[in-house]
Amino acid sequence: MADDKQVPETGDVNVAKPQKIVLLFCQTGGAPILTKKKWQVESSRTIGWVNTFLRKTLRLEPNESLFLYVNQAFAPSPDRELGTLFDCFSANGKLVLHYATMQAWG
Amino acid sequence: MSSFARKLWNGRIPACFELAMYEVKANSKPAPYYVMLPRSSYLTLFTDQIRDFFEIHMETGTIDEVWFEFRGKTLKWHYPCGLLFDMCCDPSTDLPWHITVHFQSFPEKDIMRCPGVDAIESHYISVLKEADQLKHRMQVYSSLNQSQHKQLWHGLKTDNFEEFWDINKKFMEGHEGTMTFKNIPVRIYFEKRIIQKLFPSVRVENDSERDVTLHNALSNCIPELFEDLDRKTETTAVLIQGTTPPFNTPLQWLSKNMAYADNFLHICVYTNNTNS
Repeated sequence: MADDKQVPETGDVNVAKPQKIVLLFCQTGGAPILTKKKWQVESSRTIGWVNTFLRKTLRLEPNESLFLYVNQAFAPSPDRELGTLFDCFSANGKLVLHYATMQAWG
Repeated sequence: MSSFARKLWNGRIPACFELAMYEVKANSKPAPYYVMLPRSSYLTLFTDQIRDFFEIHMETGTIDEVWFEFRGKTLKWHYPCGLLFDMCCDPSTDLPWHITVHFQSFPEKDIMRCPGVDAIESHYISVLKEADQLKHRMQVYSSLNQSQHKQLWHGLKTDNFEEFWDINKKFMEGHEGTMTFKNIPVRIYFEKRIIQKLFPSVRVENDSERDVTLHNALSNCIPELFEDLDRKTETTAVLIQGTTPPFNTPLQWLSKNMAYADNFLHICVYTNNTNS
């Protein structure tokens, strides 16, 4: 995952840069806290990918659950692309994802 | 509620489930299992009856979670049955729908696990909440109590039209006293992509308000589609609930009358090239 630091330009204009979106993680319901909350991510990445990434970053055990929510309301399925979620549910240029280790919004 | 709602609810897909040959016990010849699948239902809601039917024919000790396959493609249980059928079948040749049932080698990479009916319910409610977020900023879902949420799911699960629509009609009301939804929940399935954008129900053109139509939505998401349609009509198809509505149909009308139980309008677009 690329972080939100400026990536140096290669000068090669023929290489199509993948589109990126800004993700903002918010912890809820006693989940471990992330030190870096804002990430720039390729829009073609999926919720499943975010799940794997967060589990690794938060060092969750395989038997621990992780739930991701959009708009503090619904849990998108793992095959959902971040780009389409961003198009429909972003605010102020960011897609806010709440994460919890217990079901937060049934 | 519209007469369309009842007609769609009664729309069934005759399906023929067969146990994968390599999973059949020696000297066993299981008969196929036939089900009329409701379009808005989910394949895994039939898991228990399918497992009960095939169990005596399966090698013991090898039973994992069920998964379904059609022509080598894993079927995503979290899509409604009608959408799955529209995505991969041709009704003129593929009826009944021959689905292969597996209880071994679960394809972790292709589909999510479905440990039980609760998982289907929570997936369904999540999609419904997303739709309501788009239609009414979640105001309808939040205004319902726990037993109404349960009634909605129970009506869908048990194929009870009245029980389901008694609650679902609330999701079909306009947003904040208007006649229309704030945005229309639409997913377009095209060339292995799922396209979802914000579609308001009306747009302004020459200072007047006009309905956003199916044509507007499709040409916005897949601009090349209508060039193709003009050139080779017979190889391009747009399917909503197994039918092709006229392109000038307002999205608002389609959403109200032809959405699935999850309140999304699932639109399959394919050309001969992409369907192969």
